[in-house]
Amino acid sequence: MNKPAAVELAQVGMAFGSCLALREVSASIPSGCVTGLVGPDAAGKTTLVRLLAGLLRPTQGQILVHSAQLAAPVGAEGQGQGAQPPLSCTAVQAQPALQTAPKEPTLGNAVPQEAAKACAALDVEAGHSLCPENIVATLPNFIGYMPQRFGLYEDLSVMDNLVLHARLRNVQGQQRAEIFEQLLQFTALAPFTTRLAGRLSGGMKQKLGIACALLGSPRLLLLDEPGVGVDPLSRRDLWRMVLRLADSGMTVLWSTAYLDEAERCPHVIMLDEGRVLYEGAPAELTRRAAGKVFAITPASGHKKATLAACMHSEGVADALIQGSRVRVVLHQSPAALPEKGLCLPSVQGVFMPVPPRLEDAYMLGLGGIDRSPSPLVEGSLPASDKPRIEARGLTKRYGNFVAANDISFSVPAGRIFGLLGPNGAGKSTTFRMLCGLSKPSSGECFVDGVNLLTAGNMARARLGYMAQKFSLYTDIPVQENLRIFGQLYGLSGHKLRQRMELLAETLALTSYLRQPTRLLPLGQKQRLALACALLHNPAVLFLDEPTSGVDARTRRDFWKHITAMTRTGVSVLVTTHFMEEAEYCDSMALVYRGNIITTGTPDALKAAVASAENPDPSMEETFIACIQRYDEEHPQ
Amino acid sequence: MNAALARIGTIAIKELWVLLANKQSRLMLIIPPVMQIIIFAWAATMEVRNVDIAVLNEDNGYWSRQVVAAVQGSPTFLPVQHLRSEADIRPVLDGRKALLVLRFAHDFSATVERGQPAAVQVLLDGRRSNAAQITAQYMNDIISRVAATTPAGQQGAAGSKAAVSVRFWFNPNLEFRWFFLPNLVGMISFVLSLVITGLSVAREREMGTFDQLLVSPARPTEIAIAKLLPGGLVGIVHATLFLLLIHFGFAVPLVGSVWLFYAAMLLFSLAASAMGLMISSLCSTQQQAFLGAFALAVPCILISGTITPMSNMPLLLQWLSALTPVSHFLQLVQGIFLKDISMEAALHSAWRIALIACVCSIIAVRMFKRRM
Amino acid sequence: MKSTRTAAQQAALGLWLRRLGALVVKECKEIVRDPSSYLVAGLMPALLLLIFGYGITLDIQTLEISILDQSGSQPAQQVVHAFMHSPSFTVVPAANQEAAEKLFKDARIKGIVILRHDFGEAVARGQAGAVQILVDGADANTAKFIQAYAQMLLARWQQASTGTAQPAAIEVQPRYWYNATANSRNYLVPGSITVIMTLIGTLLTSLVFAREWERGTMEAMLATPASRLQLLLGKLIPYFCMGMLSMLVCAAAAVWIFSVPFRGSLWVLLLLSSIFLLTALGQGLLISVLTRTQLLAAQAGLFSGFLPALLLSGFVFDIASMPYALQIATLLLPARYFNVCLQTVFLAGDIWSVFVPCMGAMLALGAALLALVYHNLQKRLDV
Repeated sequence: MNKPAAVELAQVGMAFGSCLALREVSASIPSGCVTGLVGPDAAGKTTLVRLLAGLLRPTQGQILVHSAQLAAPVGAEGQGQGAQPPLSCTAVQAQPALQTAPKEPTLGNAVPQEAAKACAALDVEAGHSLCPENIVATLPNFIGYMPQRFGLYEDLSVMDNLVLHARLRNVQGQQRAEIFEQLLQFTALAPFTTRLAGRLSGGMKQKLGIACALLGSPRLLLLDEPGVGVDPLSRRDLWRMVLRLADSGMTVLWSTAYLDEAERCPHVIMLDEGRVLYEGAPAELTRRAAGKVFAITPASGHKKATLAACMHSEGVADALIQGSRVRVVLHQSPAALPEKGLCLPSVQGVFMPVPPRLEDAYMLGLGGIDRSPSPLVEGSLPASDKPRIEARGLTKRYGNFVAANDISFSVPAGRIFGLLGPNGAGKSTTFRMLCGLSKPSSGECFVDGVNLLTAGNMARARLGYMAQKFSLYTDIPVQENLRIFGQLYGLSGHKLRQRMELLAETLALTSYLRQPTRLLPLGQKQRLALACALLHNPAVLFLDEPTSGVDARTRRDFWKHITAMTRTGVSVLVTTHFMEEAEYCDSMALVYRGNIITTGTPDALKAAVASAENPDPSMEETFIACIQRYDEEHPQ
Repeated sequence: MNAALARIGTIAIKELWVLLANKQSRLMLIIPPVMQIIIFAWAATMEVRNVDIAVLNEDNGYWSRQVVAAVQGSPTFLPVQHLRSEADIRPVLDGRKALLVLRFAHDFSATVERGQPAAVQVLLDGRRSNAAQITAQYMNDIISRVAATTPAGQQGAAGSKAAVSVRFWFNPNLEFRWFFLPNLVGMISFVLSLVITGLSVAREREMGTFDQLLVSPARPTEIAIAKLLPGGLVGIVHATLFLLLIHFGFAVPLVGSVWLFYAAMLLFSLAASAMGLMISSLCSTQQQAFLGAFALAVPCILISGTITPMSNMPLLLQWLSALTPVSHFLQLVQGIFLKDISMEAALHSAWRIALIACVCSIIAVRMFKRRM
Repeated sequence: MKSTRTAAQQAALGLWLRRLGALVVKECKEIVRDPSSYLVAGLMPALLLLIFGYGITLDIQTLEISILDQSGSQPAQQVVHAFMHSPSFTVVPAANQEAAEKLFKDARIKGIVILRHDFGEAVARGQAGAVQILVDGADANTAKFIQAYAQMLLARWQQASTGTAQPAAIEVQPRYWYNATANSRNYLVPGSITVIMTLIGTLLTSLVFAREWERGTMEAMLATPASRLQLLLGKLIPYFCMGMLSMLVCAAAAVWIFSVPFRGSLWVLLLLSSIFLLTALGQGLLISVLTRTQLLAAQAGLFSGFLPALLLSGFVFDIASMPYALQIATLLLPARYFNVCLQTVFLAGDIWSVFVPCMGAMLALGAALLALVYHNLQKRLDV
């Protein structure tokens, strides 16, 4: 890291009551580049971002923003300067936070109080280093912040939102017109200026959120989980935007649960349970996994069996499906290139070393996946030749607008079917029609051979549903949630108890059973939602973005159970924005502008877009290529 | 059928769990109703007490002093303020220092002595017309009692009002509280049941759990029925609470059957819940549901004769009032508390409440289905 | 040197005002786009005005009674006739005492007048008890009116029939100042303006900050340069204007639709209303900054704002007649003072001896509430 630190955190601790959100976090954010803030949910990412935005005051330690190191973005010179006094004019006082810094310096504290004071004195002399709260007070346009849900006024139009933030940040007149033009072009929101913010798609909301945060040309841009719930296309756009900002000299902090996003940052801070696990260049961390990552081409051709075998084998830190192959991460790099079944006796296949990714190193760092086999493989549904899910010409119209047009597909027993598509493409509409939440304008759908429209009651009894937001009754205890959903599907007495016990044990919920559901961490909520959907042994499982915002390890566990179940004959319909999940699908359909634009196995889709310069496209590239091709063929 | 009943039971129990799970909502069910009953029962009085009165006595003879003494002796009035001149009257009334001014002309006692009709002016503050009217009535009574002792009064005492005997049934001492408290019960249970049920669907929509219910085998009708039950149950609990407070705390008699009261409360709470359900079937957020419930509840309560008798209202409003369950419940609950209402009349009100409940529920279920 | 400083100050002030303006404009746009604001600020006031203006009246108009004539004599017939033609009563026919009592119990009629079989003779002899009136005492007010009207009717009949029209020894001459006909509409309609302004001031604003917290926009605002005072005024000003507008519409309706006299001056009404509105807004905003969830905020708004304004402000029930403790408690109710002021400014005129103490009390309450709001509105999330 050769860039000077723009923000320094020294021994920062943050406590909410008795709950410690951050413990002794020491890290620095280099100026003029994108810093990734990664970690599982409840790691303290949001708390850290809020501390930097001056919305919270640390209970311990100090945060210093070296304003001198924060360069004004190139090309943004002279913008938003109206209200700002020149930096040198700012009278800087020693921070009271310093004096109240760690009251009880623990033994082995890396930065003793004396040193901290000395360092602070230097900064004060330099006249440029302030805690975030004072930065906000004295240099109001210095920090741009986008909170988790974008912080937009949904009843106001795109333009209204922009104007509000522009006025608050004293950007006006000619200057405002220029910056608006730039931003609208930059975010591609120009055609939508009169649309209400609430009517924008997730990706567009996000861009607008960033545009609002960018008004007044901040030197430090804080983005809290901008990638959640956004399709790959929008995420790629967003990344490009942020990269351009960083190239122009802006310092950006990007908080995310997704490691593929973090991998692209030149600098990452990895948090877990409020502590820093790693800080530095991602490549350095990734290097720790070098020589331990392999792609296995299954011998028998059945990748799911191979995956299961890998996940249960000794010495495996991570295993997931990637196209037709299974990617494994070993705890120890093998002495020699493993031959067939050399180091993993139960796995049949051809091993090929592949370059490591940040995620591999992350999984190694967290101690790897839970290798116990999923007990959900037990029992099996009566075999059936009929498709478990069948859609025939499903169409949904709202007035003149066709949200879903003539959607047809079928999912055989034991298969996973993915519905993919950008935000607002008709994916959710289709999904809602398939599970009976929305009546199609025309067409039919069948669940386990039963028509959902004529015998909805019976059809619904055969499906399990897990909603995006993990819809649970949050005020009541975990076991009551389980009981309610069990009883709703006609379970009772001994059978209900048995299922509840099995699922609670399988999904590691036993110790939480009596707790109010709202106290569960996100990962546990997700598992509880799955348990609720599985109580009645459904033949079909509907998953609506089942892992959004959940970290990698929890995701692996989740898919372990899902793939285990498909072996008993359960069919799964899943919508997702997350391309790793798409890899688990046996086949999938890409929904765009209300139509299925392409359908097939992941490999087939990839093959269809493979080209000379990119012979092995990733799922994400495939997705984007398909949509771009469709746009070219069907101009609006 | 059994399966459907089991599902209704499950959802209803879930509703109760959700309702009672956190402390805040548990307290909300108990504290505000009790507080309201106590405060508003205290506040509610159509009697007038502690009245500020001023006297301009230009006469100062025997009879005017007699009248002033009678006024002074009445518990209704605060000590009399004496005014010096006519010019004092306006500031006293303008500044609300007195609700009324008694004015005796200089020849008042002399006229009375002569046995001729004498006049006393009572100047009242019409801004508080209600209190003023009631006070005028009191004043009439007091003065006519004095008048009976005057020479002219003693002469003509024989004939006039003696022939009439009045008995007040149901409420011999004409306690306003006896009338208002049962009404208050209706008012409070109505608002609570409406809000509890109205918000429950909106909250589930916001949390996403409503979808979870809709994809389960439970039919919209079953969900609707199950959503009504907790409202009914809350009604029963409140019935007990109110009975204790009103009957034992405020000593309002209960001449009718306790069981009839419980049945009426159950039915009424169900009807109010059904209205709540109807509102929530039209709303998508809790805020809309709350304001919707509020905008429906306030007019319903005001036009159903809670504060003033229905018979005073224009015909149109009386018809509208018949569309609310509140007005029918008030008939019923007044009847039960004070009058030992006949079964026939009770059923007459009850089936109207039931009809309103059914219509609202049907609209709610229709709306649930239409939004799918 | 001095001039540059003032120029800098002016620039700073200009910036400050522009920021405030931005917040105000934002709030206005949100109000305009929010259907619930129309419900609370448009539909509800209209409904309340209609109900208080046309529907509710504390003056009794007609009452249902039954008459049982057990004597069938000619004087009795005359009495029955008198009742039937009285504008105060509607006579519901009843065949016998049982039928009448059933009507009575089922609340179909409010009273029974029984003319005993010896009515004729008893009247002639001036005996007591010839006429019995059973009155439904459940509603004490109505009962008293029935008693009074019935007695008056009988007395008049007696005077007419015997020709002994005897003036009372002391005649009470009631005169209602400010409201000569003692029409209760004249005081209910101004009173309902208090309730309506409480609705807008407290109930609607109690949701505003809570809504921003729930939607996550508050966090975005806190991270902007907008100061606490600007955030507060940004909420206060639009709702203040809305409340004043609504008040003017209601006042106009009161004067031109409900013919309530307006004897004070408009500017005094505006002054009084703005002071009251500030306290109501202070209360609403305080609820809003303290609660952070809409549900709780709405309930607090209802229980601390609307219901007391309706029932404890002296609008429906006279404060002086309440128990002493409750009277003390109402001193903390801004609606109580405003109610008095409104009745005075509409019916009596500009009487400063009434306004000054009321305004003082409202100002004190308002200042305290707004200070609390300002204190509780922090720019950080952890306090």
